Amino acid sequence: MLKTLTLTAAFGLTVAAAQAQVDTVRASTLPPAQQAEKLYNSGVAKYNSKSYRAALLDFDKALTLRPDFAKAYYNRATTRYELKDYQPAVEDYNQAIRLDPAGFTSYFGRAQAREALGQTAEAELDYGKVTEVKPDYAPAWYYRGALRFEKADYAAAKADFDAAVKADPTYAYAYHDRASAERKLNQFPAAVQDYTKALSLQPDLLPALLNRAAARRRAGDLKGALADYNAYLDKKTDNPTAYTNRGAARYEAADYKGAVADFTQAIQLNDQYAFAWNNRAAANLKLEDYKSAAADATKAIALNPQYAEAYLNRGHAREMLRDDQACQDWRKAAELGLEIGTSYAAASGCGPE
Amino acid sequence: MQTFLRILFLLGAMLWAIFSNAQSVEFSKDRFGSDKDGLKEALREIKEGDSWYDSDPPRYEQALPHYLAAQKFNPDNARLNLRIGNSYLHSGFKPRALAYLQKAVQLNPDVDPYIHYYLGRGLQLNAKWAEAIAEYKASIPAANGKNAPAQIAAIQRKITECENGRQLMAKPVRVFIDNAGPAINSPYPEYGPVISADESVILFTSRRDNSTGQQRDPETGGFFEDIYQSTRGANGQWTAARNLGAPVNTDGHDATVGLAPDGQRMLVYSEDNGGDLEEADLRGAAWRKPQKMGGRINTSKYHESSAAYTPDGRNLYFVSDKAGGIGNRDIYKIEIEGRGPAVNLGPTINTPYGEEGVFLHPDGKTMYFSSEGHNSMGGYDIFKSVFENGKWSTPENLGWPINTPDDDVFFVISASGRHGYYSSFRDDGLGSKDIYQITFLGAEKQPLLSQEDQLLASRIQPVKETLLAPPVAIATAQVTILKGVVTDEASKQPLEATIDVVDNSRNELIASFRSNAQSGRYLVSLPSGVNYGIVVRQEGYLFHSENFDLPTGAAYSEVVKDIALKKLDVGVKVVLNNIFFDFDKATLRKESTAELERLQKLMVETPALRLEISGHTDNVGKAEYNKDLSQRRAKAVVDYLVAKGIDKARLTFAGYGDTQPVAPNTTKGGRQLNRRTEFKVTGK
Repeated sequence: MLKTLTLTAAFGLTVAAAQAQVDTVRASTLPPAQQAEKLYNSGVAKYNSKSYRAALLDFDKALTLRPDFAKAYYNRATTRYELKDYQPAVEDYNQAIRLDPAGFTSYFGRAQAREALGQTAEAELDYGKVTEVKPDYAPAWYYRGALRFEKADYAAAKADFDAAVKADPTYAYAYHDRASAERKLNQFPAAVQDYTKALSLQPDLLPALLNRAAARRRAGDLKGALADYNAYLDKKTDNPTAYTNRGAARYEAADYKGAVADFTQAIQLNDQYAFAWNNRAAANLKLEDYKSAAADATKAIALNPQYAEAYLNRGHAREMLRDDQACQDWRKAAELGLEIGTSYAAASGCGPE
Repeated sequence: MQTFLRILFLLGAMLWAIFSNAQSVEFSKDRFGSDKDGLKEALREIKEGDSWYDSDPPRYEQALPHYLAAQKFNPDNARLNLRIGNSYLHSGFKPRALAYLQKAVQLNPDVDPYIHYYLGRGLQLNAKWAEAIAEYKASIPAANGKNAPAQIAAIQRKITECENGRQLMAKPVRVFIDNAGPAINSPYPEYGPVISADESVILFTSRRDNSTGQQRDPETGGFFEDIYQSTRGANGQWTAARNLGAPVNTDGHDATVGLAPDGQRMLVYSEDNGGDLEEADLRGAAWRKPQKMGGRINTSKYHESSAAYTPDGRNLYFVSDKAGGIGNRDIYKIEIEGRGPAVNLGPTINTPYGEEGVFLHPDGKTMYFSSEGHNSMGGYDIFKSVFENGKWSTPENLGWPINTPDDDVFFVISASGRHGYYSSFRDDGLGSKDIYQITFLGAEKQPLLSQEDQLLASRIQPVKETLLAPPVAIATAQVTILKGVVTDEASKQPLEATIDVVDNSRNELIASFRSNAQSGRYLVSLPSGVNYGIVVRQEGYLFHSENFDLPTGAAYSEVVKDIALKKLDVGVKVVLNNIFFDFDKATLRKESTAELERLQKLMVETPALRLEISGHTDNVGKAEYNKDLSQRRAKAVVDYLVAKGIDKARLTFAGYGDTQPVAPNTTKGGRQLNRRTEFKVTGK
């Protein structure tokens, strides 16, 4: 959503300039350059009415008439981006940058196209270029921060989000994502504060409630976390993830029955949601309802045969049910990366494999 | 509202009925005139019960059936209820006392001056800690006479026990407690189980009707004690227990109190001299007659009751109430073959109250015992202490529900630490006291939850997280059980042989065991933290050596190693598993000394013996280099022997590199087997 807004904003500047030229020429007998501009403007209009294919044809023609028309390359690139033709979009941005190296919008556009192509390192460089050319352009900081977040460089991500909110103190997404970076850096009070800021700037940014809840849990404020989950679920009752997460918070608060109710609600909303099944297995273990726990974990495993936690939990349930297959489950969990499973098997007299 | 009032009225009426009727009903003609025969019979039962109850010492268990018969006729007599309650307090099924005691006091609040104390006992034995404490406190004013201070101290101790119980019960340990089943248990009492380290053999004491001599003890009315044995069948279940028979079992009481980890030696309790300890060996399949353990252990007038071998078989821990201890029964340690006196384990372990039922885990450092002191929740509780850095750790109560407010004694545990055995009166028993297997589940295994959050506002894909810190690894027993069968390589027949356990680093013999003469079976416990050389030897055979380097903290494992001893013949090869070289060098490490000395001894004892010492490598590295290294290593062994005076002419050496593998070089284990020093008999 933000991405679209940003693009249109950048695009708007170009269109305004182009239209100013259009007013001064006549339509009938135009030299090629002006003919190109006319086609260009037609492309812009079609783009704005979301007729991307038609817009593309206009930009093509404009560029045939005037091969050094940087803005036409830029707009064709942007149109191609909308059509998800990312590689040709990158090539058009290349031309636009070649013809107009001083502008920042082509770098930003190319960064977005490269990101869409999965070329995150190149995208990061392009966003970086924008931050150099136009440091007050907050989205460049924001998107580079997001890329850095995704490669788990949370400190660098946080620095970018810092710059984004400095450039645009009303940037709700940047506050939100800085909070997430802080959360990853175990700076829970700061995270809570930033999620709160994001919510105040954009009250409908509901995921911020879920994330603030998670940060509050990690900060040891279970009560606050549960209040956030409740506030979210008051507004939005169709999200199985929210129920699953509140269930996990209730579990942590040793309210195992409440947790089971939430996981059950999540399952009712989406019975393919393996996490809810696995977590209900965990809560049932705590309630010493081992049969239900084993059945729930089995369902989670059926949905995701590589689900290590579900194997581990089923192992626990089967141990209490005195079912020797507990050993297999713990070993499978270990095989899937939860090494503790090996210790459980060894300590429970499972014998050699 | 009307309904509510009606219920209230009914409740009030019921309460009134209960309290107004709470009056003792006498066994009198006035009351039971219509059933004269029944009354007569009930009075006769009471009289019979009283004769047991009031005897010196009182015989509560014999009194009980008579009182219960009378109770059927008239359940509302305060005195009878009190006596039944008190008899239960002195029986195996103590918790049953409470209902009768409560009824007695309800029928007559003044039924007995000590009723609060009895109620306290009944409540404590039912783990009703807070109520028990209240009754004990209420019982203090009844203490009188010159014994009052002692009585009050005893009551205070009971209150402390209840407080301990309340704390321990709040944190129950995770165990399964299962009846050992009808192969072991019978309707008669079973107790005192002892096991081999690998749980393949269980011995226990029972007072069942097929006891030797089939006589009843005139004192208690039960059959005399005999020792029984069961082994694990192929399906993992216990086989039907058999009476060990003569010469172990006699017409009198015969009880087992300890078994060596390899199951080849047993400790027996005898009633002689106020209680003595005896020892019996297993020869083949037959136990020999138990022999007295001698004056350093047994006393002429004190009670030596339970005992346990250390896993190396050299020391004995035993319980005695002899004078000079810390109080009551204490645990002592003694070197069996030594000359020194038994040593009291001191106040960390022993208390002014009783200690009993000592057991040493095969790891050689963990002791289990029962005590009425420490933080017992009543009677004897089972405790654990670890000997580390030269001292015993503060005993740790094994906790609820293993320990109960009643006596919990004679606990043993498998080398793996997974299973414990003890006896208990439980409602799911086959009658009387039964043997139970405890399965230790360890600390609660925490479940793992998953959740995901959409951490980036501009991204749709949520991020998965596993909640809660990952659980920590579980500590297991730090001991390796090595077991198997020794055979003659040629005849494949089981062989009785000596198994020496050597500390290679110190070049010190730790312990020697014998494999069973009939089955060839052996078992040794190897506590972690030692580089072990295991030498199996028998006259007329070449020795066999194995190496177990178990670093400190190495977790529990059970290794089955069958060993075929070879006769001394030309061409026979023996691997010297306890010869060690520095990495990539031909320098003998000092841990090799014991093995080299064995080899030297063999050559001295067999003057005609000629050997080829050979070195072997795995296939890692260049063949030529390997050949050279293996040859230099073989030569180092020969040089050692020559330096020790062995005629050079009797020894040759060769380096075979990787040309004579004994296992595939494809695995780490295989390569390790291939890197070896061995000898071949070239003349005798």
